[in-house]
Amino acid sequence: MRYIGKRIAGLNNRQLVAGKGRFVADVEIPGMAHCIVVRSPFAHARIRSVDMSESERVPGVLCVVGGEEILTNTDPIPGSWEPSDMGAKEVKWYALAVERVRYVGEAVAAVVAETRFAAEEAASLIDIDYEELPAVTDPMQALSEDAPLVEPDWGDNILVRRDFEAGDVDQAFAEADGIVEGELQSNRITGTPIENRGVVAHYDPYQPLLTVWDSTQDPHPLRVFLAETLRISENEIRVIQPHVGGAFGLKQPTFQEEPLVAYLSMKLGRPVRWIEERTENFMAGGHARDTRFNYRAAYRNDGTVTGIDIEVIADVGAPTALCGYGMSFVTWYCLPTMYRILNTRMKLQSVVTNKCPWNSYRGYGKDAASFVMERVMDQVSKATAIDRAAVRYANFIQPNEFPWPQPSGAILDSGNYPALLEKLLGLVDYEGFAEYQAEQRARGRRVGLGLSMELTPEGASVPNSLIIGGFDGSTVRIGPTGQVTVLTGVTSPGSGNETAMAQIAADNLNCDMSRVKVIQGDTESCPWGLGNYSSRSVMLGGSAVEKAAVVLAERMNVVAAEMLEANRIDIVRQDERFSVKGSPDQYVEFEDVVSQFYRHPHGPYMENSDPVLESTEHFRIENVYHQPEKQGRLSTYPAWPYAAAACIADVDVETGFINIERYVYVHDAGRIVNPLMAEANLHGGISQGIGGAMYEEILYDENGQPITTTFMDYTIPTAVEIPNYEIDHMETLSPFTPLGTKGVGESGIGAALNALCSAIESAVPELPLWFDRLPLTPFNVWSEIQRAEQVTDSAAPKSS
Amino acid sequence: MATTTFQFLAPNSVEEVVQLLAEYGDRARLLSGGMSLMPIMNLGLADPELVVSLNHLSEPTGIIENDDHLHIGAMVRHNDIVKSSVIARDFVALVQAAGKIGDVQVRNRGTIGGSIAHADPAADLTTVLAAYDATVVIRSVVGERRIPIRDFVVGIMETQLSSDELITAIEIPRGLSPRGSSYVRLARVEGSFAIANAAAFVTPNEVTVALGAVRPAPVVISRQASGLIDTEESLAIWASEAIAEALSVQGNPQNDLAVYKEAMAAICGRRAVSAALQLFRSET
Repeated sequence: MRYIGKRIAGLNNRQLVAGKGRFVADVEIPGMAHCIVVRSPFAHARIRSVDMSESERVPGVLCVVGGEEILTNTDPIPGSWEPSDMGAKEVKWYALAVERVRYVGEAVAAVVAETRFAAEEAASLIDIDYEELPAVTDPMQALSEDAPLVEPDWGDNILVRRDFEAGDVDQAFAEADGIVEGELQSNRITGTPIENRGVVAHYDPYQPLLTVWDSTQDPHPLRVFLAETLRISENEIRVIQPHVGGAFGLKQPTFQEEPLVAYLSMKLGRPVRWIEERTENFMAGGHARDTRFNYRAAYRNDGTVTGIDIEVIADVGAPTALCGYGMSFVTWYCLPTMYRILNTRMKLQSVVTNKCPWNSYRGYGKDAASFVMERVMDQVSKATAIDRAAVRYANFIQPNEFPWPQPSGAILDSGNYPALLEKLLGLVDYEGFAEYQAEQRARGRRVGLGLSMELTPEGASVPNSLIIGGFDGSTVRIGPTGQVTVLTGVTSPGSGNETAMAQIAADNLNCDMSRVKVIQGDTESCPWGLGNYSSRSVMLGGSAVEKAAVVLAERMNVVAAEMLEANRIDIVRQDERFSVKGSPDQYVEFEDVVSQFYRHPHGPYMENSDPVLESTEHFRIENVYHQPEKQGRLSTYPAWPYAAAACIADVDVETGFINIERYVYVHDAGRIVNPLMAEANLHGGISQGIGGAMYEEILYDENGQPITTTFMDYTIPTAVEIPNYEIDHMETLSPFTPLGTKGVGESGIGAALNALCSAIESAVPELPLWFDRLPLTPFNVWSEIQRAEQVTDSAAPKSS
Repeated sequence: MATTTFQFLAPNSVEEVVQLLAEYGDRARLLSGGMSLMPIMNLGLADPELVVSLNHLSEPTGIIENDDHLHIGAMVRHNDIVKSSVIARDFVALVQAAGKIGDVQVRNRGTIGGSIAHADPAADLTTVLAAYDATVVIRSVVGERRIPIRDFVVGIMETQLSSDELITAIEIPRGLSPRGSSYVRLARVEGSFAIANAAAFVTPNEVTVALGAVRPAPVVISRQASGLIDTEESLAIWASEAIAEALSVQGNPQNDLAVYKEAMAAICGRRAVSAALQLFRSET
């Protein structure tokens, strides 16, 4: 293979770096009008009335709409799956709130005007009479008997509850040498793509055709969901994904604004544009990871964990059609991650509150699962005084034990956890660290080494879903001049997978990569596919490219054999040449073969071939189980990439500031098609991991008013703060994809959480530091140091 | 985005500006770099009738050395300070502070006069200027007046500047040499507002520390003493004690951000004093 496995620069680099990408805000259509969305200022309120009269009088205003009109003319936004399949409750969520608002930022009304300026002014003049209702903003409060209800019809604030037990947990605890226990809390965060959300909709009533340019990850499902909400035919809708400036899960359909803007365009017969502002994105774009854990783990003195009892309480915000709350389910589902713990009790409560709903975010709950399990491993290490790495070695699922059935139903496909950790420890010089630490200590620096594993299952596929499924399609087409077009159902919302697609196509067709053009993100031309989420693009979309390319390669082989008067099985391909085995001088060129298909369909070499150099294939991955009655399990993740991180950081104990000196990361996502692009993805993933670990936190006040609505208050790390990562790969091939790929897009984020906690604890070994809450802001680190110093001082014998 | 209409003028002379201010008073806002005013207007927190740009004025732009002070025009951009060898020679803390404001774009546009007038408690330059005991030069149609920077800020984003007045320059007294100064700030990320900041200024007869971001205006502590005979350790102890006394640090350190900020101000102050003293020594 000439391209797969090579570090090839992104095909889009030149265009994007030159600032010549075309994003949704760059879409200009003559006659385009501007939409502003009016959002709830209250966490919970009844909408008594919406008075639009003054707003409508603003010069340039084309229309003003409220919830009642939307209720009359559109249907509820479809969910990502059937909630009852997951045991979850559901709500009807419309493009604008009807009767009641459940969080600050929920869309209540919209204005369309000739200019954005007029729309803004008119939006400020809409008079909405709200009756404020009691809000619940804390998940523990939400679980109490007398809590206000986010959804009065539900009777409680629990969206989904799951209980599960495997093995004999009580016996494991009864027979344990020791027990560790505690509470953990991971922070509420969001993905903050550089480009916020945005939609341009253009309805042409004469075709009729509604064209929607959307900063989305999934054009095909969005098309269906728009058809359903707007009550029109799928054939009357075309969704185009322009360049997307980052998505990280936040742009999985379907938002209120997508059907809303489309509806407004149809109503007005005009192109309508809505471009989100950052503050809106913080309030309404979707949050993640706000999870509490209560846990106990039983261990033996040799460091083996024999039982685990974990309660997961996730504050998923208000219920909507967004697919974020599934993250709490995945956190639960991934436990006890990569460890061989046979006695497990796992309880999940996904709790609704009057806050912005959860929405998909890179890591999708796997990050939180790794966080709690890695904290447990560190705690067992402290309790037994056995080295942190040794505790992990003692508990890993072994390489010969795959496929490994998890108690939750998941089947871990493959891996070699001990070998990967060993590789990491070598790279970071784990053995030599104590010496380095002592040296630095002598110079007044407190340096620590943090360690964390991470399990990041990918390729999610849930039953009865149009948006999350374990298959995808690609078309490969070779034109008359030998140019190759690849059309995929997967998309590249900033991830750059089009480059990998071109590599896979070129290798399988045995042609130069410069022949290949990749087209993505247009429902009119690309085959059905579910876009980009769960690191599926190369794993599923790339496998479909491979399948389609193999079909064309074979068709060309047959014709080449005819041309060379040889047997098909004797055809050898190298560097765009087809030759006969043993006679390299006797060959035909790639373009000569193509030419037969287009110029000589009735010619002598085409007698046994159809003149078709186009193939569409769909790849469906195995290791997914959707028929629990028949198969005994529900398993939604086919591929299980994993990783280990070591972080060397110095801690300023006076200020709580942390400086990352080295961050070493080794991962195994199966075959890596393009290490350069994979590492670029990992740089982003680790950085977002560090962001969530050290910097980011969405905060609300007790009334449900968001506090962090700009980057002044929601701190994310920038290139200045981010260290240079040292990244290495291991390749345990997936048994379920043709190339052995597993998906790399969400890796990096989960390990950062515990790696940072344990680095700080390791830097100040004389203090009983224990981090059970994220983020590790300087203030939080300093506070923990103060607490630990107080404990140490009061425990120390008093000297008079 | 700003949702209301306003008038925009860009006069060429200070005289025209002060005439407009005399006429419009607080219905007008002055636009220098726009690094604070524009976000404030975009967030709907300011709604001026008139915006007067100072970007076409020729007068208050230079950095001029006089016998008794350094004159910095109000329209001097942060990046001009960063690049000024004159300032770097005698007042290095100002260069350090200017180099840490916002990001490159902010430093290219933001001005010293704008920063001082905006009077954010965490403003980097104000803390340093307080340590140097600088003077703010102010103009109105009535004439010119001077206010020590230490008295200039009276509250959170409140100053002694009247609605008809314009800052034209900052004057930093040259004082005795050698001089050592240093600026230390703690901020979450590059470009974010400081949790706490401190500037220290050491001359042969005085040690001064100014602390920012903990009170509406910089807290200034000084000691008549000779940096020549003080040891770094004794100065550090003095700084820690004097700062603790000035800020009266108390409360529960585990959940009170204000306590943390004050503790960090003390640490910034102590570190700034040490660094300033080292520089002073190296100049001696």
